[in-house]
Amino acid sequence: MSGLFFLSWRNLFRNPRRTAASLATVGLGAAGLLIYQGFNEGIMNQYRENVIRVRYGHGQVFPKGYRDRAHGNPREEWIKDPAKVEKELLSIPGVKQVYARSSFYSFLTKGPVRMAAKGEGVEWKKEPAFFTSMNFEEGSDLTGPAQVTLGRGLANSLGAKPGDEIRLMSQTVTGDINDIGVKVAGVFHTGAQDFDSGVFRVDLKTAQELLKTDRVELFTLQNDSIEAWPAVSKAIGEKLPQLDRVPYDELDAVYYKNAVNFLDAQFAFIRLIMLLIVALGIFNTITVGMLERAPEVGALRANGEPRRRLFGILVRENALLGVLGGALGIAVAVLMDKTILRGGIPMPPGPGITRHFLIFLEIQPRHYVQAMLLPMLATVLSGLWPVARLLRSGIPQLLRP
Amino acid sequence: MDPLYRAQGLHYSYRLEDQEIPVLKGVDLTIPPGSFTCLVGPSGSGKTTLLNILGLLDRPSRGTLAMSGQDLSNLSEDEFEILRLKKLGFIFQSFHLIPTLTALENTAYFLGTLGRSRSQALERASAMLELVGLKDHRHKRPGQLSSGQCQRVAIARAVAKGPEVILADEPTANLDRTTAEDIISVFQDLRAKEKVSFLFATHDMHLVSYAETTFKLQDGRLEPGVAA
Ligand SMILES: Nc1ncnc2c1ncn2[C@@H]1O[C@H](COP(=O)(O)OP(=O)(O)O)[C@@H](O)[C@H]1O
Ligand SMILES: [Mg+2]
Repeated sequence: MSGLFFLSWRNLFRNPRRTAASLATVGLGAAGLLIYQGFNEGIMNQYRENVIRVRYGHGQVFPKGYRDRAHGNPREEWIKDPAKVEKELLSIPGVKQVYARSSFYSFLTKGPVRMAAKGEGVEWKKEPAFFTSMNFEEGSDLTGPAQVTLGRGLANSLGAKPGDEIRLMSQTVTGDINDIGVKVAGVFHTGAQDFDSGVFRVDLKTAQELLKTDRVELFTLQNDSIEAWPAVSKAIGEKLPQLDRVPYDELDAVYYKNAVNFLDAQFAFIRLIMLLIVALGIFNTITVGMLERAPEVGALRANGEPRRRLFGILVRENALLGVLGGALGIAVAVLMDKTILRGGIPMPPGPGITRHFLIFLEIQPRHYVQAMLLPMLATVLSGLWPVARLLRSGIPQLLRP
Repeated sequence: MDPLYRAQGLHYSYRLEDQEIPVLKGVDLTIPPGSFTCLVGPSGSGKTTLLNILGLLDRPSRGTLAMSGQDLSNLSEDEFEILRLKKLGFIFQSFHLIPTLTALENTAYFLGTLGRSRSQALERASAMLELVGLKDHRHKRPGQLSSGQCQRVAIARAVAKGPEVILADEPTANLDRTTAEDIISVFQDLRAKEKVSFLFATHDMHLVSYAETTFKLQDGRLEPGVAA
């Protein structure tokens, strides 16, 4: 241990009860910060999971330039020979499964009611294995080709329930009008409001028949993990240059990125408040502890101890208190995470989401660093005033009994 | 050889709100190196004030002060700090040791400040503690030592720096009679072995009886050579 740290360390034992009180204050602050941050991260995770598992997978591939331009007839750009492309995508390391999809606009007619909505043709046999956030309020997911599932809002507008017959009418790739009859299999809600109120799903093959095409609009990717995206994207770029790759957070920039930015800004503010609370909470204790050492410090200065060196020692003392308090806080937070918060924290729906969540703390290594540094900043800051007094006062004044 | 201290016409006043309280009103003194000097005088006569000035803890309002021939009037606070570290050692009535450090670590404290290695510092500190008779207590903390032992540690800490002069404000005032005598004999010993001067502000007549020179403060001035 270096000389100055040795002195700081020893000082923790000067008044163990006071040190314990300070550590408790700092520790609670650090634990609060950590739990809040873990909670925040947990919320973001839930958001992310929702975005990935409801709609976009880990990302999607489109025909090159497809998303950047407005198209007179977008379906002419769709991916040719989907079976071959699917095979090539599946051969890329990190890609676990792919799901072909095609979206289109269509009229839905049920009795006298007619509405326009966005349809998605999906591989209904494959999708439920990964897209688990589809919740069916009534009926079930697609179980056959001539079926449709409706978002909650859309079903309400149509007055449709499982078993009802609906006619879909759409323009084919050649510009003709085509229509087919489907039966409502179920009514879903995903949590994403815009999706639930304006989207229906049908079997991909059925959609292709309706549109009279054998192409598909896109493939949704299920990778080994979220982190696999950059490598997967790079490999696709090399192997299938005719495709654009777009990750989930770009696909849902409004929903996801905004939520992340919102939570980040909120956290930055809370962090500042925590810092202030800890600093104010500990100011008195630190000040009393410092100023009662006035004669001792006076004696050191009388014997020529440089103020600069004393400053280093005293600031280190306070920093050490902060770091130890932070470590204590980490221990408390981890303990709480492993015990009373183990089952998750129930949360009402977040912005743009219609279902309830269970939030689990997601405490990351970088949070630990912050949980040590922030309390350190708080203790050092709240010690600056008494330290300045000890170093600026005349020595006779410090020595006076 | 230059005197350890030469002071001429030292004045000092405290300021209390709007009031000036003159304490020193023209102090002249010369103290040779290697001497054993006592400042005496009734309580409130200004002994501590004068000792603070001679110890570079405070500056006179007026007058000149030189130490070993060096004029101190124009030195900065940082230069005072260096002089205090290298040339002066301070001892106090209430010892003011660091309670979290052992006797040995307290004694070695300023050797660390002076940049000595840890082993060098501890070695010298051990030798100093042996000199003041605390060899067997070096791993105890101040709280585990008697007042007399604490004062010995404070002395060892000040002398370990190798200063030219030890200044002490009432070094025996918190000690009982026999302990005070022990401490005085420690001073005597050190003076012989470490070639260091001693300058005391005291009203302990027993301590005064060992002094070569005694200055008495009276009405803000010194009356030299009076062993009151
Ligand atoms: N900080 C101060 N402010 C005002 N007056 C002081 C201060 N310190 C000492 N004095 C006054 O100065 C005089 C000399 O004090 P001091 O040097 O402590 O005397 P001594 O050490 O001989 O008892 C006393 O009258 C004391 O009350
Ligand atoms: Mg006094």
